[in-house]
Amino acid sequence: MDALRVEGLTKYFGGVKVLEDISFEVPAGERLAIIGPNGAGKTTLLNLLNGQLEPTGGSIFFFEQDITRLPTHRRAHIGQARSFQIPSLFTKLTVLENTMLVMHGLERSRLDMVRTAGGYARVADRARSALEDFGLWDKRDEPVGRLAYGDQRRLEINLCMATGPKLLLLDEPTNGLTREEGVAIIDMINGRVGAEVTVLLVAHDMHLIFSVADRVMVLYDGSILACDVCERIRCDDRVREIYMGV
Amino acid sequence: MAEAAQATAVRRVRSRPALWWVGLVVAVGFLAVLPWFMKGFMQTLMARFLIFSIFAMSYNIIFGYGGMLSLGHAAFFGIGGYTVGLLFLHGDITLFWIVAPLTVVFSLAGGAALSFLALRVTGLYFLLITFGLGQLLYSLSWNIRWFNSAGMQGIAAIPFPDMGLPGFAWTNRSFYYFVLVWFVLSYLAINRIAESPFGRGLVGIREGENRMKALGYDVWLFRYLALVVSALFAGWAGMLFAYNNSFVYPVNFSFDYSWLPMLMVILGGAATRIGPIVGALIVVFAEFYVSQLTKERWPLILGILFVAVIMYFRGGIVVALVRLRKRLEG
Repeated sequence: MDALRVEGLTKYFGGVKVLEDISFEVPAGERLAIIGPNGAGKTTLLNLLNGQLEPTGGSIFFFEQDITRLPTHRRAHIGQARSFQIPSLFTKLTVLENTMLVMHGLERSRLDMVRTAGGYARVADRARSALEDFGLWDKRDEPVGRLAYGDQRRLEINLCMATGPKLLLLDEPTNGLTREEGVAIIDMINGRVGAEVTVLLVAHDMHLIFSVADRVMVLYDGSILACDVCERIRCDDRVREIYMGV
Repeated sequence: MAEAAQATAVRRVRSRPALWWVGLVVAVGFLAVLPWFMKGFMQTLMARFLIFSIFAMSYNIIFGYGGMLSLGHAAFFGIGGYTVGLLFLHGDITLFWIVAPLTVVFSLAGGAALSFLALRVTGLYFLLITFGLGQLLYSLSWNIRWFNSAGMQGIAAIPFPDMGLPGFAWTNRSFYYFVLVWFVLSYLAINRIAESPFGRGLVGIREGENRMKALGYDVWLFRYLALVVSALFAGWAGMLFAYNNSFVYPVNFSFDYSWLPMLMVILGGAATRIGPIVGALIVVFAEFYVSQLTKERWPLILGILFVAVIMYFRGGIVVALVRLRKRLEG
């Protein structure tokens, strides 16, 4: 089954065309990387898939369910998780508070105003085991803003995976990291994400991408220039010309 | 302004330290013995301080934790006050067991309706709509004769509530204790909400709504429920105010009253437990003493106070004191 099926997706900002008539499928369990120069529409595509933006035209199906107009929070409940290009963890809140918010997001008890002790403790336990798993339990009372940048990124991406999503949307997970940190993040994604989880990954760094992606989609000027396995993308003349400037 | 809403009160997931309970008992004990050393008018003033504390704590839910700047919070306060006033004026109903449930009903209904209108928009437009809605109720209550006692603006001579107890007569002191009970209950309830999953979610939304949506939180619903709950406490404060003050005026709906809880919360410390109470204490007593010296200069003093806090104690007095203590401890 396709985790994602996109048909004729189009987005205009006012009169400016950002994405034009995009169609593709992502089979469940695939790792698809999206690359392309600045302004190609990569982040816009993620925003459409996760519901931050509404498309001008076209449809999006998530496991055969039409989600084109579904609000973002509902998409989270049916199995989408996303990280943002700019780290979006709440810097004033502590590591544990951030983790609790993630864990509570998909629980019914998130609207509980008087704290049913049982449910709350269960979520706290999950937060604890997740943080121990990430090796950040000792730093649980630190405001996230005081963590090293690499740790913030690591925490954010770990938290994305922690709720057991079916689809991970990662917007430049290695953005702003050193080469080694970037490799560590990619290794983490490779190592921790189950084979049944579908991953869409936006990135600039092609070498990093090739170590994680099954297929690569190249966006250029709002259209799909190529979408193929890594080896062929690497050899594609058009891709080399516009993307790598060769 | 959003910066003023510090995350200080949002603490770790842990049971409360014993010291916290000791502090609460001492504070309530202090408030309980205080009226024995005070004159009657001072007891009324203390009750006024506790009532405005409830009003400010209710505003803390939406502004402190929720990060929503409303300029119309007095609309809910006025609804509570006018529920008491109108039942007395037109039905001669003063029985507390009728008035109080109706206050709850009207506060919740008013909160549900007005918040629905206000939340059609966010940010600056939310601020303008809340301002407009408050002023609308102010204008209606000013102009419609049914809302006013004969020959004046507002409803006069509202008696203390009839508790339905044979042989019971109110004194200023017993009414102070009545208010004190509601103050303690409101304090516990609002802090419970602040520490509940709902309250944490509200703080998350204040810090970044896009991320919260992606995590599965229905941002609109959280904001709406926060406004409705805060309307309930504001309406309850308005009811107590009507009894304590024995008058309600159209101005209770207006910006003049909306800005008081805002000032108190910012002054004391937004998103802190006791910040709104500290703010209410300062504003209510400063108003009393300054007005004795120079009544017409009170708004000027209030303005100076506000500017000074924004410039030097952003985050509020409570946060400033916590920082000072940390610095002294090294």
